[in-house]
Amino acid sequence: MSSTSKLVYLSLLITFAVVIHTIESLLVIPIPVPGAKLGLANIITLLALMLYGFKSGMLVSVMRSTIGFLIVGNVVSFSLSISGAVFSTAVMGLAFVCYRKKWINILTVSILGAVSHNVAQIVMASFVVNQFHLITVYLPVLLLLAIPTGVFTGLSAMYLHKIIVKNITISHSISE
Amino acid sequence: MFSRYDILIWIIIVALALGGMFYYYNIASSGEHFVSISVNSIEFEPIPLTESNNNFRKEIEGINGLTIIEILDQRVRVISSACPDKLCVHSGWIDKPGQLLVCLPNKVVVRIISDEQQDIDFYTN
Repeated sequence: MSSTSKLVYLSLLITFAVVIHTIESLLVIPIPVPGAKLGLANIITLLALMLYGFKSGMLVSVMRSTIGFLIVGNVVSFSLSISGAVFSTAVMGLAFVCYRKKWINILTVSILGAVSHNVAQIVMASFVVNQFHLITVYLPVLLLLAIPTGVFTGLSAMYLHKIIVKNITISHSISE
Repeated sequence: MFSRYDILIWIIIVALALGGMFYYYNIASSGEHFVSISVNSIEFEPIPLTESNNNFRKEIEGINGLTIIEILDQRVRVISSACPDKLCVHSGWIDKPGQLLVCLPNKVVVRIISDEQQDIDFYTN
């Protein structure tokens, strides 16, 4: 695949991620835990990781946080979102190496991403308010919530990846 | 499709979560408990949930009228409230940190907090 098509597809992925991030920030989740999120934008990060590798995944997640900050965020939410994005992408990148070696499957990669996202966010949040018991209070709940959300984002990324790989080869074979 | 590493990682996460919850529950129930009352998101001074406040009643002026709460045997309930559906009255007693009694029409929120978690009121994005 040429670098121009990679550029276009990455820009599209960033756009999708920003849209998901924006819509998600408007949703009110009926769980009284700060930091509890569905993490739907992680679908796109994982997808970028599967399609183009670690650097692109990191680019997509950092750009998503930054542009999302310009649209809906404030400084506090940006610091939480960027720390979660960078740390979870780094962990998913490591886990993805294990996935390539067929040690773990893609759902586990996604769950590890969700877990590390929550860990980074709650640690950052307790730095912001300077209250470290926040971690003991909320981290267990967030860890448990990371399992269903991680499975959901993992399944979504898996099926999207299948569809995209199929359709990119189809469009290439038509144009050629 | 699921290798042994997958199962191991999932079990570790669930075990950490449940262990942490159990640990926190022990901390939360060991500290002193307070009754925190807020009307229209303005918070009052928390009332300690101790023997000295046994059989204690408080009238709270809400948006529509009075909400009366009762503290008895280190539990709290709403006795009467000036709201149409009385959901807060039907909620019954609460006695654990984190539990809530909410009267939405009257904008009254009664919750139990422990001294470990008094001023957590922070939302992330």
